[in-house]
Amino acid sequence: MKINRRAFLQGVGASSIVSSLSGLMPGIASATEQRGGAPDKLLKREGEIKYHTCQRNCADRCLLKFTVQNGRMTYVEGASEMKKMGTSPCVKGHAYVQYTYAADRILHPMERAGEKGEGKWRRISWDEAYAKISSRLKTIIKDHGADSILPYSYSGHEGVIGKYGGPSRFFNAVGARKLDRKVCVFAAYEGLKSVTGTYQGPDPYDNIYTNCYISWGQNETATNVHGIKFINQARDKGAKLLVVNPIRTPIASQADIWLQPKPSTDTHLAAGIMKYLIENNLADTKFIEANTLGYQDLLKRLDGMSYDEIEKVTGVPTEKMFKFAKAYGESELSVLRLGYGMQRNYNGARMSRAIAMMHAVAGQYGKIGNGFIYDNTQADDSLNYSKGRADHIHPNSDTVGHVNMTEIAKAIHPTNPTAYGKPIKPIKAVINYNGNFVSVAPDSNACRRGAMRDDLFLVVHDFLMTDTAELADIIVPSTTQFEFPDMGTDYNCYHMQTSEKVIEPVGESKDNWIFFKELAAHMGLDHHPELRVDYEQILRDFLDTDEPAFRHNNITYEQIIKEKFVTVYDQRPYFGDGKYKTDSGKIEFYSEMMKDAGYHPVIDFGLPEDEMIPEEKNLPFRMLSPAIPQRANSAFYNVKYIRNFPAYFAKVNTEDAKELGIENNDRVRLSNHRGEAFFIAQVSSQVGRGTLMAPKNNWRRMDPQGKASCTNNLTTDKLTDMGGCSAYHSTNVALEKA
Amino acid sequence: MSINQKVGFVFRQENCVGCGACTVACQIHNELPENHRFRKVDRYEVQREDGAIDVWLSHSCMHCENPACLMVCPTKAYHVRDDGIVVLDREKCTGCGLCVSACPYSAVSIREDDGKADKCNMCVELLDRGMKPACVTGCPVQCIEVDSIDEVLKKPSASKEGVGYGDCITKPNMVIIKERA
Ligand code: SF4
Ligand code: SF4
Ligand code: SF4
Repeated sequence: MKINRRAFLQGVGASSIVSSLSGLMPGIASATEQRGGAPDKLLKREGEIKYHTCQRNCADRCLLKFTVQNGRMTYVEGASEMKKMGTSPCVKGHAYVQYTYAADRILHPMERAGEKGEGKWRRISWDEAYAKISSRLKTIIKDHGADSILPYSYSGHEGVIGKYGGPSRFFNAVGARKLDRKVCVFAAYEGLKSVTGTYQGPDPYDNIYTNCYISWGQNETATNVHGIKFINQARDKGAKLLVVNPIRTPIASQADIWLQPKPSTDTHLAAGIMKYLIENNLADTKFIEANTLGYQDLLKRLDGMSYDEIEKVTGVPTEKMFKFAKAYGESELSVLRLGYGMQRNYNGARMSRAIAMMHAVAGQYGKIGNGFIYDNTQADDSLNYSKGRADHIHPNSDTVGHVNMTEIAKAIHPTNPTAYGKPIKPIKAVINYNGNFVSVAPDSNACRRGAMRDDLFLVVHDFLMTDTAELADIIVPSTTQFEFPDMGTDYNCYHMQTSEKVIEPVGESKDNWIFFKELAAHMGLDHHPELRVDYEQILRDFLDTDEPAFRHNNITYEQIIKEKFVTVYDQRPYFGDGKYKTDSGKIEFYSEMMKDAGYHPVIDFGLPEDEMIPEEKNLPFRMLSPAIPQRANSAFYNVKYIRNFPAYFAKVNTEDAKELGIENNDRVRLSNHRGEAFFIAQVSSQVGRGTLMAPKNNWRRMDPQGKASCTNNLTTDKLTDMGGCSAYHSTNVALEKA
Repeated sequence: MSINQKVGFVFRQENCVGCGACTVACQIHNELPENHRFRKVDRYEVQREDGAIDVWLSHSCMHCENPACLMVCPTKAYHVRDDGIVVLDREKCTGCGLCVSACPYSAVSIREDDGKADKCNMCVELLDRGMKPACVTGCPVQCIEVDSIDEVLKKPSASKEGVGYGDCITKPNMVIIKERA
């Protein structure tokens, strides 16, 4: 559609001047008053509207409205008809037009024309790319077996087709090695399941009814910014805000009480709070009696713990902890939001468990306005994944030997490849899509050494030259999420949302389904009917589910397409029936599951330092590497308007900085046995003594210091206590002025 | 209300989380060069009895009642509308930079691309169509509004003082409202 500028300007004349600003009617334009106005700026908002869900790995999963003119995306705003959204994306989502049309997008296939990583490329056609990839993969399959091909992907694209529906069909048909995509939530899943049997919880829309919101190990500003308005609504009505975080997040600053424990000492802190609640008659004994098992064991376990010991371990002054516990214990309704970062520790499952137990001692489950929110995957878990991914093509998947994505550096080690602590058959090809493991996976230097192996065939499907793509043998250009139709599930507010195709693929790029489908045809794998279908069929396969949460509202493909978003039914109030999902049906203060895993069945006080090798344990700083609001994992690093927000900094405590002679904006060097990284110091009391904070997943190739260093040069790839999750935050480093 | 009521930005500083979405929403609506910002977000570390906290100030042009920019501008590029919005007509700007030095709120600067001054015009093209400025709709926390300054100032929680912000002789029209004690 071509917009005639004059017609447009007439179209938005005086008749459309209706003010919605609390009765405010701005001056109706007279000739002079129009000065300074720039009506041209409105042109980008006129056009066809497409609804599309943000597919970055962010709990908000925003439903966005894109304006399209002449096939070009021109503007984005929030789909305000959806309560969680309001009018606004986050700081990143605002820049999606710049993201999509970034000048550095890769627009055609390329093949390496020099040594690995040398940066020399030759443009090739798609036909050549397919021929080269399929012939090399076929040779690898013949010589080493299909299980020497490893896919690598995670949260580059969280759409139903983009993440699994498209690519997994191909890898199942190949019979490739299985990648365990467990980088994130899984340690806490185990910890929380040991208490209530689930990691799911109440609908955050009900946070407005609470008397007390507890943010524990979560930075809402970076990873759930749209949830903040609901907390504020509750606070406007008098609710308290309590925060536990080793970093002073924005809402920690705004809290009524903020506790700043030393990193990973949350088990001790939760135990101290439980002890206080019990000793001061703030434990909900009626609730405990009716809903829990093993309370006597808990009392015994807490008896052995002194407040002095807790203060020593956590660094939280006892009086302050008491103040917090009192405010919490006296609150009629408290909702606790656990962050997705804190479980990335060697003791992640055990900490999560203690926090969920604490909430049971306070009797805070089962009512509207209370409960425990971690990962509300109700919509996602209802989908028929095995059908959507066509798992039946590859029924013996357990025999091919899994690789945990957190351990990719170990799995592609040049001489001693291992997975889960055991030697494995070498990986001969890695196909990287929806991901950038050299930036994102821990121990980046080791990832890079593995990727540089001459005998490793690395194919990267991406739309940017990432740290991983620059080591590839062949790069095939991917679309962004906006260039094909998909759907997405929210993991906070129970929604299933549409992702309409906004624009045609840019350049010669191909999306996650078309690429793998065409590659399958070139490899002679398209005798599987599952590899010949269209987008709609894949979505219908995922939606072919009898899950009650989904069926309750008779959710259909047509409905999602028409209504743009649907809410998957779930309990309200959550656990209102007093039936917990553990084997016993009760909240378990004593857990056989923990015992079987080799930990104390009530509370296990193990700390990450217990598991570090001495050379790391003895380093003076714990480095936390959480998300920052202006990046989503390794995405947005190149995007205009976003790239200038700093992402290569280290927050250093004021006193520590003084001792080391470091001043604000000094260059600093962080190091350990894995490597070194250079950052700009931000000196403040936002972090406690002995703690450093550096943003996660920054790229080596964009390091403004020019040292090709990044946070993950330093991070550990050892797995968590349970659930096989990453433990990035269990990383110790040395700090010095660079 | 009459069309002559003065409008200004209303900011709930107690809720701002410093994310920068307002800055970017403004840059995108106004098609600004990457390094040019009408709306900036500053962090202040404030000492309290039990330790320091962070407070953010999201600020742009204050649309002053006595605009210093207007007073010093030799080419009369500035103009105050009936609703109090101070607009800059860039066609008249010669880039002399006097307004940049005069503005007490650092709200104007010279653009690198064309050497002329530029600042927030409160998205008047949106306001005149009953819409809200880009920063207002672009804040995911919903802590910026535009409203009638006289009306808002009647609220007991409203003032022209906040962390990093205070009244001055130009009579700025930004109000900080603090609804929770
Ligand atoms: S990154 Fe998160 S908050 Fe930002 S637009 Fe995407 S889903 Fe929304
Ligand atoms: S968008 Fe809102 S919360 Fe974020 S910095 Fe701006 S005013 Fe503050
Ligand atoms: S804030 Fe500065 S630019 Fe804006 S009206 Fe006041 S003096 Fe002029």
